[in-house]
Amino acid sequence: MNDLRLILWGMSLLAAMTTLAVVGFHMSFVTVNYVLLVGVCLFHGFYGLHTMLTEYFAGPRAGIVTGTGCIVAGLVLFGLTVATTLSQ
Amino acid sequence: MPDSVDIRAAEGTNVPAGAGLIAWLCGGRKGLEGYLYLTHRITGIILLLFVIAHVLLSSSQLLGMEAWARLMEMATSPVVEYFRYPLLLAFGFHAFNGIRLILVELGLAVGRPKQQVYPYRGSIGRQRPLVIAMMILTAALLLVGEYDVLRLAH
Repeated sequence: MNDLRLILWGMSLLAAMTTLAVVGFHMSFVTVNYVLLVGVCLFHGFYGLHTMLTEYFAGPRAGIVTGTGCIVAGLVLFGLTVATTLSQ
Repeated sequence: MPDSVDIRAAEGTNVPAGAGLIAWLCGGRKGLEGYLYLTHRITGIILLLFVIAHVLLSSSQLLGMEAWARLMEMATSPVVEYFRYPLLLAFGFHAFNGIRLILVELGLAVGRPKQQVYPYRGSIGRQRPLVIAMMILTAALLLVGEYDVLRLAH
């Protein structure tokens, strides 16, 4: 369970860093900072939401569901941001 | 000596363990810090919803400029624009209260540890100036920000 969580966090971090590198190669300093800022906002927001949800819905199963849901939602929104930025 | 001790009751928070939504809302805190805790959570959810809306609105460009223009027309309507004011309030409060929480977590502005003598006193009184300073900074940001929002709106 903890391994799965660790792998998911690691993959999301790796994906975020890779996409930032790709965006940074193609885009300007301001654009990279925008993507970075949105990524930080999404991470902070979904991490807080994850904390609140796991406080209310106790149990290991709820922890996996909320954790995975928050990571997937954050990655999808971050991916949309990167795709939009690269399409400019 | 009972087999299990209710930690929350032992801390004197009057919130029983497993109290569900009530415990979730106030986190066992009382008084001003309890309200700050609740408001921090609510403003956090509001700001997350704003970020999600911002990302979805921006990414509508992927569907074509017509779709983006249609959504932008909705987003710049007077009704939606009105939500800038409470959004700025939520942002200011969340930011400055977050800084206060970091300072408290780092052990700053909470007073020096000392041996407890009955009647026991917490460090809430020591933290109160920080709360007041945070509120003043939030109010100052609001004054500057609302002026800017009003100036941009007209």
